[in-house]
This record gives sequence, structure tokens and C-alpha cells, in this order.
Amino acid sequence: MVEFAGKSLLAGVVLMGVAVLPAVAQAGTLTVYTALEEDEIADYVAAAKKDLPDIDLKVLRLSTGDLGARMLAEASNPQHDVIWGWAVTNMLDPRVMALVEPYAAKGSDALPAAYKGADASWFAATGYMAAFCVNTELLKAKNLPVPTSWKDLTNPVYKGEVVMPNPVSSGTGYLQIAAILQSQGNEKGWQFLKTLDGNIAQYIKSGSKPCKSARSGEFAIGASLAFAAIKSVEEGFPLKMVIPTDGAGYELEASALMKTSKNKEDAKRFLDWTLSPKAAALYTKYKEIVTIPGAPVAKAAEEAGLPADVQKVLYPMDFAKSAAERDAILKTWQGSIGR
Amino acid sequence: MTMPALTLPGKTPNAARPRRLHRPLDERLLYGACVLVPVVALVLFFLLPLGTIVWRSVLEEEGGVGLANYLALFRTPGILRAVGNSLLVGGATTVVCLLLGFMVAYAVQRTRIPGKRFVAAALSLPLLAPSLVLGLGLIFLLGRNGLVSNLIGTRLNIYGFPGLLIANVLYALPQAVLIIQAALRQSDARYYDAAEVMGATRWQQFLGITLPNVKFGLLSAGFVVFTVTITDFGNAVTIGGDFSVLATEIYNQVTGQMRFGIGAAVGILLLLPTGIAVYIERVAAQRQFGTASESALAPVPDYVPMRDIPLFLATMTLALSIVAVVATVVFASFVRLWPYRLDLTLKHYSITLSGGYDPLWTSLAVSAGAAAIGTALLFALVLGLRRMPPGVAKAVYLLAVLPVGVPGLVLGLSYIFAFNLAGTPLHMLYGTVLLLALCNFYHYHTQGFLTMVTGMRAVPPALEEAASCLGGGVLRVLGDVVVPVMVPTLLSVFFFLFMRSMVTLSAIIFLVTPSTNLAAVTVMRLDEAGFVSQAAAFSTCIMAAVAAAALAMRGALSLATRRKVA
Amino acid sequence: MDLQIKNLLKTFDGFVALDRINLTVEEREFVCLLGPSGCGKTTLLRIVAGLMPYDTGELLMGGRDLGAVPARDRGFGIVFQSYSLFPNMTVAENIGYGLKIRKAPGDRIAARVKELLELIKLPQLADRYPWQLSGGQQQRVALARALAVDPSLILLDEPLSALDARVRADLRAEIRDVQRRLGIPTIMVTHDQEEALTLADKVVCMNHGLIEQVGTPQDLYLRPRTRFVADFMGSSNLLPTGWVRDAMPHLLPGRPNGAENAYEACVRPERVAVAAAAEGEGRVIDLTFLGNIRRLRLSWRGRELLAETHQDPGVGPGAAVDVSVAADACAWVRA
Repeated sequence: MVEFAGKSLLAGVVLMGVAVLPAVAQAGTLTVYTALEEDEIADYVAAAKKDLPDIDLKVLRLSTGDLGARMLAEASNPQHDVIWGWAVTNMLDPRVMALVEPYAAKGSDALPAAYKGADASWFAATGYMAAFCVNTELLKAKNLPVPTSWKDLTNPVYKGEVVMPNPVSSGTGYLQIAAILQSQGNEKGWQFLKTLDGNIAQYIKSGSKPCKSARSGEFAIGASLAFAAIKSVEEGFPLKMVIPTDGAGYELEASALMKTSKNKEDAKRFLDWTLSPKAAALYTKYKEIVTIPGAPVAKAAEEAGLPADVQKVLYPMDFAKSAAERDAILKTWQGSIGR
Repeated sequence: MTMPALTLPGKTPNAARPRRLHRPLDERLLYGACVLVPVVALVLFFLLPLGTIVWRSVLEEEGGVGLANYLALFRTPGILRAVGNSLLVGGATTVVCLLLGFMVAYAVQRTRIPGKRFVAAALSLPLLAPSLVLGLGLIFLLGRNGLVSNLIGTRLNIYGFPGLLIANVLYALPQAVLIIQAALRQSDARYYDAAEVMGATRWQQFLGITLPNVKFGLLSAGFVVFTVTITDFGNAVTIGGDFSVLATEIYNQVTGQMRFGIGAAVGILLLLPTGIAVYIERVAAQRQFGTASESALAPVPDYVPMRDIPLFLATMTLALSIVAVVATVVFASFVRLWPYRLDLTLKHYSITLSGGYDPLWTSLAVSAGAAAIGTALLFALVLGLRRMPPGVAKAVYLLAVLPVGVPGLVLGLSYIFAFNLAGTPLHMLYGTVLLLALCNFYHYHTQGFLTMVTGMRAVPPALEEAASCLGGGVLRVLGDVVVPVMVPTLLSVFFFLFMRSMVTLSAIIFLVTPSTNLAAVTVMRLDEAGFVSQAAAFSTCIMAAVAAAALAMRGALSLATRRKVA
Repeated sequence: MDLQIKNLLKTFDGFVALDRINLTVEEREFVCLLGPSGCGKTTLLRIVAGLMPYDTGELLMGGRDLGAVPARDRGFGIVFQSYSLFPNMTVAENIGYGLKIRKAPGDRIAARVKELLELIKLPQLADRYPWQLSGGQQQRVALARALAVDPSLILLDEPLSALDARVRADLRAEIRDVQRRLGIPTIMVTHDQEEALTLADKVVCMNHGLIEQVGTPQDLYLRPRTRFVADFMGSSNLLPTGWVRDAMPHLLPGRPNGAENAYEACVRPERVAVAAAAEGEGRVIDLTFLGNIRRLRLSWRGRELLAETHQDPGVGPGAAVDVSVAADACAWVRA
């Protein structure tokens, strides 16, 4: 009796296992890991499917930090073919670089040098900027002026009403302080951050939350991402997006080919597509920074009052430097400012 | 080995040797399998992944093997503060949960207050709501621009310790009540009769009889609350503000800086308080007195106004508060622009993410699987444990309660480390829904196990013995005797695993693939994309789906039992 | 102090559990409530203890009306069948519990506990827990615990039923001994007539919520007044009037007046004299050897009779016997 039970149990388990086996990767299937935003992904993927109808595009979207953790955890046996639109500061980590195979995508030669890896290991078609999410209603109620720069934020009138991401846990937070440090120089930069700390109510763990806190009235000003601000304004929140005039931090969204990909041909075709004029036109609908020369003006940049050639106002960030110095900078931050 | 001649004049050698109690082979096999299968599964799906974490924690950045990660951890600025904070919030949450949990469990089990079903339903809300709902709800209600703040007129600041405490209590309280209630269920009216005749007042009976007899339940519950609190970072991230705890340190390391070494070290260190808590609980359990007897008479609750009215008020307030937190979020999902434009709309219910509501169905399947597999394995384990020698039983017990000490983030990562090895047979499971189900089960293994153990105490050995003496084989005994007594416990374990599996997030972030997406991840994605109201709407759908499934299951069960009786 | 129960009525949803009970327990008296399951004896005990309310009637202890007095203020002691020792306390703590909640000083508690442990002859078990004791030991501790607060009445709810025969006999003697020494009025509920016979000063035989007969054990055994009592208190031969008139007319004079079917003769088996006789009218159907007594089933004058004897009657199954019953060996019971 027991034997029968045992046998049927075994059969059941085998059946269940077979039933849940993942489809074996076939030529034509492409797995993409990305940190791009949800709505833009939907748009891009729809267009890509039209242009590349024979590729079965499977996209997994996670936040920058989560994606990095996942990719590195899977490093011994990566499950994806392509990294698409991921923070370059993270991409430059040597452990990630070790997983990537250099590929000069079609059109990447036209990109300025700052937007691609010297050895063609990565390239960035887009980028995003940090911005303040300012709750105009709350400011009006408290009779406070709208800040325009980081320096403005150190004004004591804003004490307790400013939130920004915690650089230790959030890439957005890190890029903000890295921008300040690089644009003001180390000594002045750290001093500034310490002064700013006096006004900060909280260092919020995730990058987009400061904007959400600001738009729902929890705090008046949230240093966050431009996309979050734009979206909130679109939805009707009493929010204004302010790109700080001094040291607006920004990040490039890099793409790369995985060494271990079993479908390099399709992967390369996809990467080529991400630099195509069609893609470029789509980017301008969502992104503040589009690196592809000849692309129409980014709508968001226009609305924010940025010039057509955004590069003019962007401080030339040395991403390699900020990637390499990350540990040291964060340690200093935790020691002197961290709560 | 030479044996001396044993023969005595007139006696045959065999007659001198005593015969061992002969249990039938199939019975021994069955009980052996009962313990072996779950233990092997525990090893495969918990110990093995945990081992990879241990390995990572000693894998130094430079490539060597050593304790550099642990040392670096202690040199991390603020780590001592984080440890202190963790212990503080863990301890505070435990105290609050034990007090409130006992109050609620007592009110439901031993008094005649009305509205017990409402209280039970309210208590299960935090279990079936994604953690986003709790965090959001608290902010909507008690945040600086929340409903209560606007009512009172000041900007309440619950970020930090106060908010974290409330959020943790909300989350852990239902789990505590589950365990304490199981303990309170076992009692005998005659203790109270004897004490009553001897002159003891109700208060003296409570202190002298009721409390000591739930000591075990209270300890188990306290252990669970403490460990789930110090390993939680979902609440800490949402509402903890700048109150840093040890668990968020893992988050910082792994998600913020893509470093596993120190994160793994913290994960392993978090097992320490779990180990201590287990030890305390087991030592105290030595003095646990007696299982329920087959002739135990459950005490019949009286109506005692002085006790019942305050209890009723307090319990209702608690239940209503919980409902308020969740209801606020549900309400907000119907509101056009919270908190500015409060006109109602359904627009948030059309999910703009690709895939729409599909992940909800996947989640239902995964959760049903996790609950079914989990309940079966736990039942077998606890059943078999009763027949094991004490040494083995203790070791298995320790193994079975260890999972609660591992934060979800760590567990999810460990699954990647363990199952993403190309070429190993385990790799077959990677990326499957089965693995998702198993991960969710083992994440909550401890709570399920403890509830099952507490419930199994109510099955007196005499019942099983009577059935087998009547000629029933082992399976008959189980089916006719043990299972019916255990039905309430089996149900509560099943629903607990089902509910948690629907909404748990931290572990499965690392296991979902483009083709297998889960509801909890959709909620997270919606939230991160800024579609907070849609996240609220989707969460409401999840809660509704779970509630519907639960009602359906209960309906089916009562139908089945009714047919049997008729 | 004595306990008086007057016209006590208890119903459960229309079902009459106790039908106007009248009973007195004198000082120093040991009363047994005897009857089958469901007769109401435990209900009566619980009402006396204060654990259950009653519908109408009076309950007086030493003249004081207990109607409004809750259980904890009645000053009684109670011992249950099993499982009443507090599992989280040691033997000493259990016994001292009553005094502890009355806030007696510690040394007085200790002294009393010691005294009682000696009384029940278990001084060495003071620090054990209930689950470490045997059933008999637990009940003795339970008794000591009930006695610790000098109760004015002791209530025992089938205290011996869960114990095995040998332990039961020992404990029975001990209970009687203790009660005689302390002189506390006691009510014990039992379904075992042997217990009632050995322990009680007064036996109250109950059936279906009514008291069938109250009296000394001898009264109930030798002079049962109803069929139920006759049958319950040991075995008996119940002989209808008509048959007695034909077969044993010398028994008739003792019969009370009444309808033909109203009364039956109850003859105890040990009063049925059996003698081997070659021309005897009786036939032995079978013989059971019980060690000290022999039980015979006889067929005599158309009826089956039960006889018991200590002597060896020298007959076997099928043998012919003479049967006789003395004139005073019969009690007439209501049928």
C-alpha cells in the first residue's frame, strides 16, 4: 500500500516538474533585463516587435538596484541576453563589465565619446536627470518661495520640509551627491552636503519616493527624478518640476550585450534597433536626455526649460570616477552625515 | 563475538530473550517517510540555499575566504546604532504584540463578546494585504498630510520609530494571535471549577491558571513576532524614515551597492537572535505540562460585564483601526487624485502595465500550490515527529523553526545562488512556478510549523491508540481520527500560507521571470512607476481575490462535511 | 453545621434534571449520591458547590441561605474525577493554593501543607508536579487541597472512578478514615454501589432526577423500597406477587396493601437456601465459582432464581436441589 502511494507520489512530482519546465531557449527568443520605466518599455517594445517581428522579446523590469543584485547573483549562469537602459554608474562595476561582451552597435560610432565605453563594451542612448519635485500648494500655504537650485535648499526656511534619497541604498541619491561633489569639488562639496543635511527631514531609501512624498503633501520638496516629477504633473498633482541650476545630477542609461547570450545574432539586432531613428523618436517622448545626434528635441527637456542641446547645461560627469569612488564616498557620507 | 552458552536445563535459548515491540513495517515506513520527506525538502530548499549565503559571507572581495566581511560590517559606521535600533523595535513590537495579541485571543476564545467574526476577519487583513497597503494606509491616515493630521490640524510625524512600530505590530499581530489562540483552545473547565470552589476570584484564576497554561503559546508567539520584526525591511523602507535597522543594512548593501558579502554576513548574523529565541522557547517548553486529555471539557465562557465590556471596546478599536488602515487604501484606489481630488473613479483599475491582470492568476496558482504542498509537508512532519526519539525530534524542530530568521531578500538571493547552477539537476527548477511556490512556503515555514505543532497537541495519543486497537491500519487511524481533530489547524495553516504567498515580495523579486510574473511584483512595479493609485487598485483586487478564494474554500469544506454527516 | 436542600428544582430547556429534591446532610455525616449516569447526581453536586444555578428551592448551610452566595464564598472543598490539580504548580503549591489566595502568611501555609501531606501519607512528593504522580496519588493530593482551607463541606465527584481496582480500594479506606477523623460533612457522587455501601453513613439513591430512597446502607440493601433500589444495590431476585402466593406463601404477610402488580418481593441471593436433595423440585442451571462465594442459577417452580452461598453446596449443574427462603428474608418493593 505504501509502495503504491510512493510510486504515485513520485509520478505526480515528475509530472508537475515537466509541466513547469521553462521553455528551452530557442533561436528567436530574446531575454532583456532593463531598468527603464514601465510606460516607456511598453511603448518601445510594441515598436520593436513591429520592426523585428521574428524576435520573441521577453523583458524583465526591475529597479536599478534590484536589477544589479539579480544580475550579479545570476552571474555564474546568466539568464538574459541583453542589458538595456541601466544606470551606467552601476554598469561600470568591474563585476558587471566582466559579464559583458563589447559590441559596436550600428550607429554607436555617431555617439559622442562620453556616451559609450571606450572599448565599445557599452553605449547609452538615453539618460535621466535628477530634479526637485516641489509641492506648490504646500509652499503657498506656508508662504515659501520656490527653490531653483541646490543652494536654495540650504535656506533655513525649508527646514524639515526637504527629503532626498539615501545615497547608500539608492542610485538616484548617489548620483545627486556625486554631481554635487564633482561640480563643487570635494572640500566645498562635503561642506555643502553637511549644511544641506540640516534641512533634510529624511533620507528616503528609494529614489522615486521623495517625489511621491512631495506630491502627496507629506513634505514640500523632494529631490528625485525628473520623470517622476513629469508624471506627477501630468496626473494633476500640484507639483512643479525644478531642475537645479547648480549641479543637476544625471545618469546615463547604458545597454550592453551579454557574453553568455545564446542568441547573439538577435541580441545584436535588438541593440542596433535601440539606436535607430525610430527608437530615437520614441525616446524623445519620455526622456530628458537623448544622446543620439539628430534626434528631435526631447519634449520633457523643452517643458523644463532646458535648451535643445541638453549637453550644454549638464556638468560633464566623469562616470568612471564616480563609479570607482563610490565606496569611499559612501563611507564618508555614512560617517559624517548618515543618521 | 563469542556468546557464552545460554542454555538452562529444560529451557530453549529463545525463551530467555525478551521480544521487542513489533510495529508493523508499513507503519514504521510511513512515519519514517513522514519525517524524512519534509526534512529532505527542508535541506534542499532551505539549508542548501542558506549554505550558499554562508559561503558568500566568507567570500572576501579580494577573492579569498575569510571573515573580512564580518569585520568590515562591524567597522561600518552606524552599525552599532542599527543593531540597537533593531533590538529596540524588535523588543517593543514583541511586547505590544503579546499584550494585544493575548487580549484579542482571550476575548475571542474565552468571552462572549459579540462581533468575534468581524474581529477575526479584521485580523486577517494585514496578512492578505501587500505590505505596500499597510505602509501606504498608515501614511494616508497618519502621515504629515494624512486624514488624521488634517483633522487634528497638526502635521503628525510618524516616520521613524513610531510609524515602524505601528507597521510592524500590524503585520505581526495576526501571526501572534494565531498561535496564542491555538494555545488557549486547550484547557479544562475543571481547573476553573476547582479554583472557583476553593475561593479564587476570577482575577486569581486568570493569573494562576489561565496565564501559566498559555506560557508556551506566548513564548512561541513572542519568538515569531521578534524574528519577523528584526528581519523585516519592507516596513523599515516605507515608513521607517531615518530609523536604521540591521535588516535595511542588507538592503543597502545588496540593492544599493550590489555587494553580497557584507549583506550575506548581516543575513547570517540575523540568525543569532533567532537561535537565542529558539533556545529560550525550547527551554521554557520543557516545563510545558501535559497535552490535552480526551475528556477535557472546554470552559464555557460567562458574561462578566466588568471584564467583557472593556475587552470588547479595546478589541473593537483595534479591529477597526486595522480595517481603517486597509480601507483607506481601498478607498484611495477609487479616488481620482488622492488627497487632492476626491471624486470617485474606476480609472485606476485599468492596469497600464503589460500583462494587466495576468499575474493575479499566476499568483493564485502559485499560492494554492504553496499552501497545499506546505500544509501537507508540515502535517506529515509534525505527525512523524511525535514518534521520533527525543534527540532526533529536537534537531528537526530546530531546523524547522530556523527559516523565520532569514529575511526574504536573503532567501530569494540564496535561491538564485543555489538553483541557478547550470549543469546541476536543481537547475531544472529555476524559473519555474514550482520554485516560486516552494520559496514562498519556506519563507513562512516557521509560522506554519509552530501553528501545526500547537494544534497537534490537541490530538491525544489515546485516540490514535484506540483506533489502532480496533484494527485500523495507520492510514485509517490518520484519516478517521487525527485529521478530523486537526481540521481547524490544517485550515488555518493552509490559509496563512495561501495569503502570505499571494502578497509576499522580498524573496520572489529575484525569482520572477518575464514569463512568470506575480501579483506582488506588479504592485511593486506600479508603485515604483509612480502609479500609486493603480498599485492600490491592484492590491484591492488581490485582497478581493484572496477573500473570495478563502470563502470558496470554506464553503466547499462545509459542504463536504455536511454531506458526510448526512 | 448541616446542609439542607429543600424542594430543589433544576431544568435544562424544559428537561427536568432534578425534580424537587429534599435532603439533609447532618454534621459529620458521609452521604453518597448513588445512581446511574444521567440520574442527576452530578448536577445536584454542582448546584451545591455553586457551579450551577437552580430554578427554585432552598439551599441552606447551617441555616444560611446559599442562594445568593457565589461558589467562591461558600467555603466548600471539591474533588473531581480527574484533572483538577493545577498542572503548573507543584503538589505543595496545589495544596497551599486555597490558603495562598486567602493571603495567609507563608509559614502558616507551609505548616498546613506539611500537616496535610502527612495526613495523606505523601510527605516526599511535595515538590513533584501532577504529571509525575500516579492517579491515586493525584487524587490524594486533590483531597488534601480541598481540606486545606478547613471547608465546612466536602464534595467528591466520582473521585475513584478513574483509578484501578486495588488503588481504589486503598483510597476508599483512606477517604473514610480522613473524613471520620476530621468530621467534616461530605457528599460523594458515585455510580458504584460497593463504594456507597462501604463509605456512606447515608445513601441517597437517585434515578431520573428523583430520590428513590434515602437511608443507611443496611436500610437500602436489606429493606429496599422500590424495584430500582433493589436492583441497583446488589443483585436480587424480584418475584411477582402472584408467583409468591403460589410458591412461597409464607412471605405474603409482610406485603403492604395494594394492587396485585404494585409490589414485588425482593429476595437477596444469599438468603436463598439451597440443599442437595434427590427429590428436590429445583434444578441447578449453572454454577459460577467466585472464590469466596459460589453463585448458582436455579430453576424452581417455574422461575429462575439466583442463589449465593459461601459453603460448597455439593451440587453441580443439572443437580436436583431443595430451595427455601426464610420468612424474614424478603423485602417488598414498589414495582
